[in-house]
Amino acid sequence: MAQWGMTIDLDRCTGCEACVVACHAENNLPVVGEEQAANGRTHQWIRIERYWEGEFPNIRARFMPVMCQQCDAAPCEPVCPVNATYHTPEGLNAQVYNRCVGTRFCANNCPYTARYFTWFTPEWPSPLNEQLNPDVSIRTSGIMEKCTFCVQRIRRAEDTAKDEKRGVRDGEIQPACAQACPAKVITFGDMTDPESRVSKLAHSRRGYRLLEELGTRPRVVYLKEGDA
Amino acid sequence: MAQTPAPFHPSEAQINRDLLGPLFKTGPKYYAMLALLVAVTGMVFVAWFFQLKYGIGMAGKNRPSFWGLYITTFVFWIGISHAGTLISAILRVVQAEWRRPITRCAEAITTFALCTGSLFPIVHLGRAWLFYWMIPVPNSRYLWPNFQSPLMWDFIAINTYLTGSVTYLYLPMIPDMAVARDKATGWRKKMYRILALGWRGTEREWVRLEKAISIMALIIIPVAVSVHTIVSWDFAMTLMPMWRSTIFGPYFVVGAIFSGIAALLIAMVLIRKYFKLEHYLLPIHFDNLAKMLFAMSLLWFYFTFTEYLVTWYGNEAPEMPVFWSKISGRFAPLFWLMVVCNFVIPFPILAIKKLRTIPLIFVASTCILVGMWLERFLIIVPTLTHPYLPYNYGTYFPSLTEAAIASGTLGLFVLLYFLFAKFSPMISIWEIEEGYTVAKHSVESAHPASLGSTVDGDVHPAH
Amino acid sequence: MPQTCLVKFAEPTQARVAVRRLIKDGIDPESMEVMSSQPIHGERIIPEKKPTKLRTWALSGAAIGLLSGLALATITALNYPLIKGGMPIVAPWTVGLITYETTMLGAVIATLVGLLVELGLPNFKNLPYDPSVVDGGIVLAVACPDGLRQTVETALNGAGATKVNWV
Repeated sequence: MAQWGMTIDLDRCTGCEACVVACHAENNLPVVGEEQAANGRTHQWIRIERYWEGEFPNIRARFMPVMCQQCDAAPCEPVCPVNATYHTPEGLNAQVYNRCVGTRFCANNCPYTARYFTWFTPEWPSPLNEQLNPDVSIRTSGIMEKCTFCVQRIRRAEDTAKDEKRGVRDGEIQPACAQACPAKVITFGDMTDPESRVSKLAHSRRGYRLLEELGTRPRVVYLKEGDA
Repeated sequence: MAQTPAPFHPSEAQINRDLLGPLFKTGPKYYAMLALLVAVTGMVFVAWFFQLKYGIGMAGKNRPSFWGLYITTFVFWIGISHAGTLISAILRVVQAEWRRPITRCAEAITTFALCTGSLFPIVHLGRAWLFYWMIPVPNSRYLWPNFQSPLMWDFIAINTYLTGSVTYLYLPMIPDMAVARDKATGWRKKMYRILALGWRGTEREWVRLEKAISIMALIIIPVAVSVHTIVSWDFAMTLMPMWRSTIFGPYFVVGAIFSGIAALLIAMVLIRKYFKLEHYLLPIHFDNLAKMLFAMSLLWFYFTFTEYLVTWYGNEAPEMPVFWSKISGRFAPLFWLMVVCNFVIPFPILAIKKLRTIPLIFVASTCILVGMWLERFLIIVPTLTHPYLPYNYGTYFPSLTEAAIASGTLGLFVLLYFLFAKFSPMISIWEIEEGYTVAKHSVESAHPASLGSTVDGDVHPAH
Repeated sequence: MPQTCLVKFAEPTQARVAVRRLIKDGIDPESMEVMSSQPIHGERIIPEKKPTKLRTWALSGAAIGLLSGLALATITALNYPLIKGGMPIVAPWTVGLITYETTMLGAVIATLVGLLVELGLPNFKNLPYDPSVVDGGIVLAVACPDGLRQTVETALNGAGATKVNWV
């Protein structure tokens, strides 16, 4: 069984946020509006964290795309009282929208703050409702959600491969963020396949995992800037 | 300096009159207060209606502060619920005679604080109409709730405690319901007849009732300790900075008992004044409870100091921003107000005998309740607004809806207590009568002259 | 037809004397009842054949609670096994916690039920009762068969009863 993983090359990331926009479009994310965003209710399954280093004139901006790390020892999973989140056999952290009652305990326990809550029922005034992705369900208010590694694309590729009686090819599945990135920062694939691009990159000497010391065993490997 | 009051040796008939009086006579002041409480409680439900209609976004919570006023007030009410039953049960187990006028007030506080607090796990849900999914029954696909979640432990523990404290409140009430039944007329008589369950006060009944109450007291103490420990584990089971602390279990229990005794003292002061029970709730009762409150204040300070010292000394990168935000940052005014309310003001009032008067005890208890609410707030919000990845730091400010619901539950609690006070004597009649008998016998048996004057050699020392 | 008499005493000691005389005169202790507005300390006035079994009730309730808690926490998890946070499907810690709470709950409910069963409450039948007992004093109720009415009256008057009411 495939074990999905991702690498993010921080040396290449320019902070352009094309991945953020693509994720919004692919996953029917609500646009919360200026007022709610100012209240701290932004809704970005993948976000670019921007940190400034140094003092003027020696300032550097560092960009870090952060999304749900699909941790193997996810702290968000055991705390949901209604079993709305669990770990799939393929290694993804699944969020079951129709089971979520909105206690928001999982979001409190995520050290990456990677979970997002729908505070109000989302609206897509016409004609924006025509650009919604039919593969992804619409979430009403009171439900927790987060990056799913574009599980709808994974399913589609797996179904197609099954119909064609073959395995999923490396590079066949591209989450929306990986597809949109102009600098090819994000690589996605099967970590158990030694020939896949993602597992080769994950073993790079530049590789590290975010907040590794917490023991969450995330599936996203970040590649440090600079030479190997 | 209070004069020593003349010794008060009421007859049982007088005790019945004094303690049942409030049940049968109601003045205009009561009705006025009742109207106010109904209005405040109504505010809770109106605000909640709007929240259900427009979405949980009406509350001021945001990302990363996913919990705010609701969970603060939830923990606050569950904490207050620890006074009653714990104090009443502990004092009963150690057979402290001065517990007698206090037990009913205390047990009532527990039951109604639990009822009020239990509202919040429903109110704070994003989809509150589906709250019943947390009830341990399978859904249509045979999926049960997740018992690994601290919220499910909360559910089971709080329901156990609620069942236990309602039982512990009701059992000693049965004989008092019988007294009320025998003294009441009209519709009240019918109501008390049902509630008294046909109690006659036979020896068989008393022996079994006392046994049941003592069993309940022994059960309820470990349950009470476990309940607030489990509530504290809502926080301690997470990875969040300054939440992942093993001290939370005992810290919360101590804080709960602390705020509970303060609430109990406030209730006692008000009951004493408005029901004219000055002869039953004596200064000694307030004095003893105030001493317990003082001990809890010191304990609270000890736990808080330990928690913050260890955090500061450890100097861990994720925890220090939370720490400094409380000590000298954005939350500093609230933090230091909490310390003043919980320790600085109560310390002299409760420690110095001359200052341990009923009005000042009332002031100290009110400060403590404010301080303990702030403590819950300061445990929750600074941690949530300073998560591990600094890009996600946030702020939190309650919204009007949230503040209305959270503050309105005070009205709900007082309303429930108010209605209860009209329907059951707030001081346990049979326990007071028993207390006078016990006191009389202990005086008699201590007096050497009584050793000779017996009837068939039948005098036994006080139980 | 057996009649019941209700006698009011001022002190428990007088009631004790009366009961002892009645037992000596052959009245069955099971036909006597003593009522008061507060529990009476010291030796039992009327000896009881069957002591209370409330502790057994409480312990059985705790045992049932324990088993229910174990079942609830383990069987429901195994029924729909979901991996959550890399933790085992059935973790002893969580099972232990839930079991502890349900044990206590079982004990509480069993104590309450046991009390009601042992006392036969709620009981709204017109059993012998004197409402004035709530204002103090001890009321002794004796249900005696016809022939022994005189014996009972003599014994009670000898013990210092002020008024004997027959119902």
